[in-house]
Amino acid sequence: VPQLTEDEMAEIKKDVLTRLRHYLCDKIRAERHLDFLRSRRILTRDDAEEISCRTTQTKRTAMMLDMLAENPRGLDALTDSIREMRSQNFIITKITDEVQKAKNEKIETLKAAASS
Amino acid sequence: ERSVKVSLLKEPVVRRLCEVLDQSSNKGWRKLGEIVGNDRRFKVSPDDMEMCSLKVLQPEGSPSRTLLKLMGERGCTTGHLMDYLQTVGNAEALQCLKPP
Repeated sequence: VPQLTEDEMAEIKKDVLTRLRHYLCDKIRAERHLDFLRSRRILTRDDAEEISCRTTQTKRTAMMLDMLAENPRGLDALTDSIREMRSQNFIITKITDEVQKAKNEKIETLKAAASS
Repeated sequence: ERSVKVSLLKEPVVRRLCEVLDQSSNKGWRKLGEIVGNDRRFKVSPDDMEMCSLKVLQPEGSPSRTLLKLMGERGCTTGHLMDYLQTVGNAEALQCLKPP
């Protein structure tokens, strides 16, 4: 089985944030995570303010997800923030299963490329 | 050999088994963990499952490896593991444990 690089892993996480966008916008309230993400230096004060300015719940979360997708540690930090709250652990299951799926697809692609 | 402890399985066997369990979506490590979670002997808690699942975020991380390690530490034998894999319905994973 081919080993994945850090860069490939970052691509996978970005892809997972896109795939789960609809689900996460529905389940996550951005404002609950801003302080944690700022303390981890994933978001700046400006980022947090820009998110808070959006008019609806969904728009705030969507914008936060866009920013997280641009950071290789974005998904990890969001996962940690969700764990910190201890009330939405089912979202962790959803995220990690989707990462496993994306990883498996990537491994299949690499295998196919190696054998052709 | 059914009495061999899971913690004493040889590395190539564990590696192959983890590859299969990580890559089977409906009969993979999560299903195995749920079934072991219902067994009083090796009780795998939701927190244990979460800890295993988070390994997937690392490039080389394997939830299956963490789950098998945990089961091994709790005294699970190859025989128990084979019974669980039978219940999971993962013939390919079961094959990894059969002598060649």
